[in-house]
Amino acid sequence: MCSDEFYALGKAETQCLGMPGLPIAVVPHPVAKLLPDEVATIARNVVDEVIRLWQDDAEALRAEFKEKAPPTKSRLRYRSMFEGNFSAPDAPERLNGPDDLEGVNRLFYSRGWTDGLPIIPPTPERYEKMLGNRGLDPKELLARIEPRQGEATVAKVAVNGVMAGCQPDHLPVLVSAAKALGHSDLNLKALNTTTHPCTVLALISGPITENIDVNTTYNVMGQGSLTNAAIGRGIRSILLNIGGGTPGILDRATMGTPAKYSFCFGENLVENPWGETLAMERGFGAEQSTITLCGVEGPHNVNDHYGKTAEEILQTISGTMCSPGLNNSYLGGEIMLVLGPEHADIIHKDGFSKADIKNYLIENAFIPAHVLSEPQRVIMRQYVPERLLADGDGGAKIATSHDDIQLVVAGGAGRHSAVIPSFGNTRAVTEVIRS
Amino acid sequence: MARELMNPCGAVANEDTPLAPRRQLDGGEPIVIGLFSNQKANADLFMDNMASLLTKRLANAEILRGYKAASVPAEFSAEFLEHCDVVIAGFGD
Repeated sequence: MCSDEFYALGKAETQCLGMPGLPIAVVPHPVAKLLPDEVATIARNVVDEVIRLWQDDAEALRAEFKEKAPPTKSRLRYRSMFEGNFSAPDAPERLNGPDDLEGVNRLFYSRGWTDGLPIIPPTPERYEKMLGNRGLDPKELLARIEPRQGEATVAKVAVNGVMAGCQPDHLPVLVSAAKALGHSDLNLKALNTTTHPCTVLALISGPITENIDVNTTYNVMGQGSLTNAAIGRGIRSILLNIGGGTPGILDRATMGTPAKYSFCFGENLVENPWGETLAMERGFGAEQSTITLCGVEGPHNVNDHYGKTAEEILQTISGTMCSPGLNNSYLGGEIMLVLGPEHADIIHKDGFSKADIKNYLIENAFIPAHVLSEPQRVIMRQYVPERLLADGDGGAKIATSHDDIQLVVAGGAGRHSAVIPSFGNTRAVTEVIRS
Repeated sequence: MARELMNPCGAVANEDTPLAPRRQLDGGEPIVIGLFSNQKANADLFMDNMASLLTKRLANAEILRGYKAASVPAEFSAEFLEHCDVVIAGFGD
């Protein structure tokens, strides 16, 4: 059972479960804001339908629900989306399309296969060039991508990489990213379907940042680096075309975030005063190249031009981390702190280790009591009671263990850092990149 | 003029498992109805109402409640699955 706005998601779930005829009872959206007597009304209105779905002939129900299309309250932006099944196991590897760039883009956009920006047409020639002579097996299954559990083979990853503008030497990164997307710790089904504005951040670490020119310095999360832009976009294309995260259909993000177009950057080991990247902290060697995927919101800036001590800067960071509207406030989970090199240098020179930073934030970063509404507090008592202070009536800690805080050094000169909240119920996943 | 392009879509399984056979629920035999809340706002209250309505309609019904943590895949306990004859599972919002 779901609300009508979520019928498409429910239908996709039944397909993933191998039961496309599973009956779904529908109530009007939204349910969450209803008063108790209104909830009683929608229950009364649907109970006969529920009993029908339990009693009617199974084959008739199966046929009915296989065919039942999602209700559409708004115009379908992707007009040709349901023309042909290009995700069927026997779907052709190639299709015929227009010869010109504009025509290919109109076709792919109409099918819902792009992020809205122009793509590079994935011709067989470009696909072959992307694969190169690395000895990769195009048919190797790297992962099944949620929510549709689409098969991410090397071939499909390469095609989406071409479309995103990736260069052939980016393919090993995308291959590792696809493997990481399939790891259950990431909780991709939730990330790729939730109303929360999260995306998959790709953090690249190790020697490959030099080898393929990953930006780790100025404007590190912004525009201007082909590698960062294309790899982040390639991951989004995989989430869309293999995972099925189509906006408004299976990707149910209420607001979304510009970070969903592309969110990829590299760790700046050169200016990391502790000489240890997040990847190294997670057990990988300095000589290893890795990609770490995290289910996160867009970054929130921390401007502190005037703090002269570690504690002064960390005080500003604490305040920036603590907002009642974050998923982390009531779901817990990881928050990434990306220290700009200048902030990192001041904190390090004050004698703070990475563990000291985490201890400070665990002790001092809390959401003030006066910004927590009572309903918010009720859900926090249920999910994260250990975070609430003053027997549940005070503020709330934003982190309770070292694992909740991921420390990264990246960016250029300047007195800025960034806080990147996460979806909450997700854990970072790291894969080695094998070039 | 047409040219070949690679299909970017990942293959999705297309199994079509039949539904379990249905039977009349008010026939006198005891039935266990599972109400599985995904704990979205108002989901528990909605299931409370369904429990009340269904036990009034079906005198032979026993209700078994189940709950899912927020934002993580559902886990149905073996006890829940073994005992229930029919289930409502809350999904999405």
